[in-house]
Amino acid sequence: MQIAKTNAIKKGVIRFCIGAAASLGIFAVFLLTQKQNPISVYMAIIHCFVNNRYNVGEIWVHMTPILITGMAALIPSKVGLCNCGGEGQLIAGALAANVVGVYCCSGMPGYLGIPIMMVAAVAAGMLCGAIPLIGKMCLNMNETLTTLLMNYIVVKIVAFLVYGPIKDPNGNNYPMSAKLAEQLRITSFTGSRGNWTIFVAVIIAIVVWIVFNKTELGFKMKVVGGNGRAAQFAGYKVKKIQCISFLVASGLAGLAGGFFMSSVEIQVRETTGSGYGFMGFLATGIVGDNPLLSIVSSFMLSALKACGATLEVNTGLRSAASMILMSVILLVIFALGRRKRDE
Amino acid sequence: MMSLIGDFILNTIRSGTPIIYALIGDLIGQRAGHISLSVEGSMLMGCCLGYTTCYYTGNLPLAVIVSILGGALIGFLQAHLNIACGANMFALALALNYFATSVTTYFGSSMISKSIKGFSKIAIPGLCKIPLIGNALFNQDILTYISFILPVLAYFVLYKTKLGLAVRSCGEVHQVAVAYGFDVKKLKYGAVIVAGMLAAVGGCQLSCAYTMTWTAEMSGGRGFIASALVILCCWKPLRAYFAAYLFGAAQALGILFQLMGLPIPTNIVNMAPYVITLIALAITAINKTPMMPEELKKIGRPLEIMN
Amino acid sequence: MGEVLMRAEGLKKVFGDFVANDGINLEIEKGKIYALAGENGAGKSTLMKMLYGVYKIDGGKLFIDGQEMEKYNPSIAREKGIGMVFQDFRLVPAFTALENAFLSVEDMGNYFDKKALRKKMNEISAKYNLGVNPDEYVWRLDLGQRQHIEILKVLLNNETRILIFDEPTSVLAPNEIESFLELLTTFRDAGFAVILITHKIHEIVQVADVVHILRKGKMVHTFYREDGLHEKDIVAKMVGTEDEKLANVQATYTGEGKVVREYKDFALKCSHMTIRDDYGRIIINNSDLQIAPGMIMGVAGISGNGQRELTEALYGIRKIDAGKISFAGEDVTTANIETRLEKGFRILSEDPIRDNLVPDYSVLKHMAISGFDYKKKLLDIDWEDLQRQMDACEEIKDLNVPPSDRRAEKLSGGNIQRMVFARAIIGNPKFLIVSYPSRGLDIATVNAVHETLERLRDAGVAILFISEDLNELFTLSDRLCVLSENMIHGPYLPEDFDAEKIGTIMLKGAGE
Repeated sequence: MQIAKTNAIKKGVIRFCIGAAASLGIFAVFLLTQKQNPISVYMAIIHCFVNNRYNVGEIWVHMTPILITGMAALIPSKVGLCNCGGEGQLIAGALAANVVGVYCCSGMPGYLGIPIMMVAAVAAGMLCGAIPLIGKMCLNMNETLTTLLMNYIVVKIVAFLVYGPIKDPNGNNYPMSAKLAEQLRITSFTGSRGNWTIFVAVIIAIVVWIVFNKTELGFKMKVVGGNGRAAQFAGYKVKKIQCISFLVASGLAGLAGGFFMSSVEIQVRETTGSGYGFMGFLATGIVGDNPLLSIVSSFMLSALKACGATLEVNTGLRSAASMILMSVILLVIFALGRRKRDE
Repeated sequence: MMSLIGDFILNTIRSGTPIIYALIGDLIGQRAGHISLSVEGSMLMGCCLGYTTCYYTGNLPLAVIVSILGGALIGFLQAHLNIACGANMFALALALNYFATSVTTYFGSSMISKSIKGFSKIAIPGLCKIPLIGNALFNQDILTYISFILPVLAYFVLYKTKLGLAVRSCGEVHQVAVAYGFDVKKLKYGAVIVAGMLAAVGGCQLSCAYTMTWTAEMSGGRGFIASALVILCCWKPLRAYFAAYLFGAAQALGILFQLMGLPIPTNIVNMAPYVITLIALAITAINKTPMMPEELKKIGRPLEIMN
Repeated sequence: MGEVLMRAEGLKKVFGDFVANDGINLEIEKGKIYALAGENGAGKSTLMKMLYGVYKIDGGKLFIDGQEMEKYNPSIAREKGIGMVFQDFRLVPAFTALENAFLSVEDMGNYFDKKALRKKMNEISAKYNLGVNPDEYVWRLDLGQRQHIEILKVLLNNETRILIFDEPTSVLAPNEIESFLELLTTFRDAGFAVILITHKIHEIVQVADVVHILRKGKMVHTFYREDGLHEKDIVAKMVGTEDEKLANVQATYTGEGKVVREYKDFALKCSHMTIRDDYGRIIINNSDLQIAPGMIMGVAGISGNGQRELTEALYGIRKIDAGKISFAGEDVTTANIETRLEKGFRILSEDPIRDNLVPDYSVLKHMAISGFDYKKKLLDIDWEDLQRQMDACEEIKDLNVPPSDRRAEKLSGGNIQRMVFARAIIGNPKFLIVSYPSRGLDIATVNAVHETLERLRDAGVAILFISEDLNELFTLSDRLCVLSENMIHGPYLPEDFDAEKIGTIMLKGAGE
């Protein structure tokens, strides 16, 4: 078993290297057509972060929500469900954190207010996830589609709210909510927007890995996801395990939203949190649902997202180019996959 | 008052047209058992490529062809990376959309806030004078006219030809299609590529006929919406009229309310198509009549082996 | 003498080491009904798939109209006029009968001319009294009606001369079976050659002109109607009680040396139990069953008579429609599986791959799912301790369970069987349900299985034992019951263990 495991890891690393090389190669070709020197561009990307506290902080800013929503996609997949709703669950969490923070906690000290906001965020995420879950458990509705639809509904609800009910009265009539009070904001590291939530995110990923690989609970969860009938025969409470997993996952996505709101966003906009849930889904999708590898992939995606603006300044390459690199990497990694075949 | 209603109908049709293209496209793909959320990316490619071709060559048919090629590329990647390489359908679509967004934003930046002379309107004499609807239905560009008959064409192909039946059986019980000698892989690839191509034409219409301009991320989620609306149609092509123009009406209503100064929030109105789609999903789940193609019910679970 | 349409010479098919068919010779003439009979696993399905071109022929030759078929596949088979009605219908439930038919016809072009096809379908339907409504959606129809659509599809092909039916009555209700058999004679009289693959003796005797018996991949006998068809002869050849030695069981059951046990109290009591199958039809009706501790209750019956449903109902996977189940004095009718497990219920299901296998999990992990009581180390399962338990376990060794680190999904069927059987018997079961425990196992392991069952019985376990091998059943069982005609017949004492007697009950029930 040990040999099989190391072989699998070896294969994964080789695939990753081939993927990296191929993507960099393809992107290099693109750069040449743009009259850029690939080497200098790649150096510039690295330089974005060297000695640049702010940019490194941006990596952590993006990585927290991406990593946590990645877990929100990963956990249900292990028990046989598909949660595409991390996007909406995060946004709902961000919204809840702000609303509770502004309307309930403004007078409270930080050590009280922030946890309360986070609890609200988790609850909002769970509520978002509960609707598709009920649809699945009671009506056998396909949860992939319902979670996807919920994303759009949540976004519209937020848009409605910022144009009306929660619009900041002191905000010059911009469609934004009130800002969180100073003491309710998660403090950043000096010189950047990065903050301690990244540690929480990494710890969550590690805990997820531990649960699935080193605990009885994770063992049972994988049985449920691997062969539901086998779990039934063994007397496992399949529905209970699935429901709890799904709610925990959507709660985590909500928490990510709460963190994001309190540390970076501060107020709710129409586009608050947009895109993180999807990127989290992608981050786990390209590493085959492995929590530890998700840390790596989230890091990579965040870095690419973070270096765009600086890249433009340094090389004249429009910031969209870093997104091109990211999407090329993603597609190449997908292309390296192979459909599992039964013998 | 009359002009307000007339404008409302006009806006409904205008907003609904790109949706119909992407909707019919993804409907065909979903009938084959594959959900192509990447129609968003295909549409965007169509927007940008169509506009660029128009801008540099002024050749409209060429613009459409180049759009179609762009959409076909996205569709091909969607099919191939999922079927041959086992990528998750949705993650893949997201990646493809990022790809389309980044590429079109990058290459299209020089053309922002320029304008072209795109497809001009062709008025149908006599009919275009009908009050209220004349302007909306009979004074449009050719791509819009084509969109009017697209659902009917799709209906004909899917229900009245062997190929269409084979595509549908692919999405229901693909073993049956295999048993009768159809190449299920080819059918799926074909359907998904067609989805990309149609969505691209919708995008081309958006930039070359509707707005005659280009902005980054112009498709604005219309592709996603179209994908969701396929469910609202219960996968029946003729219902595309209802679904697409429902969405168009929601948008037009928003504009109307703004003009009239009504406080009804546009965002709630915009949410309506999604909520209705969710309800439609619930109904298809409860209903004994099979409406959702069987293969789609298996999505999210480990994919089966293709013969 | 009719015209010979198809001839097979020495047909052979192998899957790896396993010989599914060997040396099959037969001739198919126009205007006759042929029955290919045999128990499950005898090789009927494989033979039929070779005749239809689904499987490649590994040895021997196939002739159609006197011409050797060197290249052969279902398309060619259809061209040559061979039509096959599959057991798993090749129908799309969401389509109408008309749409399904259109998908299968090859000579009507690309445009769906509904009128023309409908007319053709109605003609054929009327001719053979099939009662097919072309515009009805298939999902609305019951299995008998779906079968008629399948038949009609085959007849739409003008070339069809040979009709092959694969276990056609397994999904039909008793009254539908009669009309189906009449249909077969209508086809025969209209000049078709009909090949019927079945294990149902009653039907064979009613309609067949020629009966080929397959056992363990070989054709062991052929009966002709003109010589007289007798059920007991057919059963005997199918089951093989006339043979000296069978591969899987030590000796033909003679009843010598069998200890007849007396029982006073019963552990498992089922009364007025009614069970429905997956299609909602009643498959076991208002029956009783009682098993005492220290008893092996054998269950005989032709497959498809409710064996799976019975085991699922007793174990808790399937809810029973009516009746009561109690164990050791407590009502468990609605108890969930966890509760039944606590009471000592264990099961070896008929399809361990479908019911028990978790992808990516090793043998050791499967033992943790069920079977062993593992200890916990912090939050995790104590794998080392579990391994020690496994190493110390006699049953694991006796049954040759494969090593712990092997991925279970990669094991052969026999090895999976070993693993799941071992799991079921470890850890003090009180009530053990075993379905076909000897399937896929070599003689030595089969002996070990038998010894294990006997040892458990002696230790006081109540055992329900399902097998398709009458000899095995007779040898091991203390009491026997028979599933047939939607009832549980019995219990029968060892003095009644006679192939002819039990075979008759398997066919007709005990009401005669």
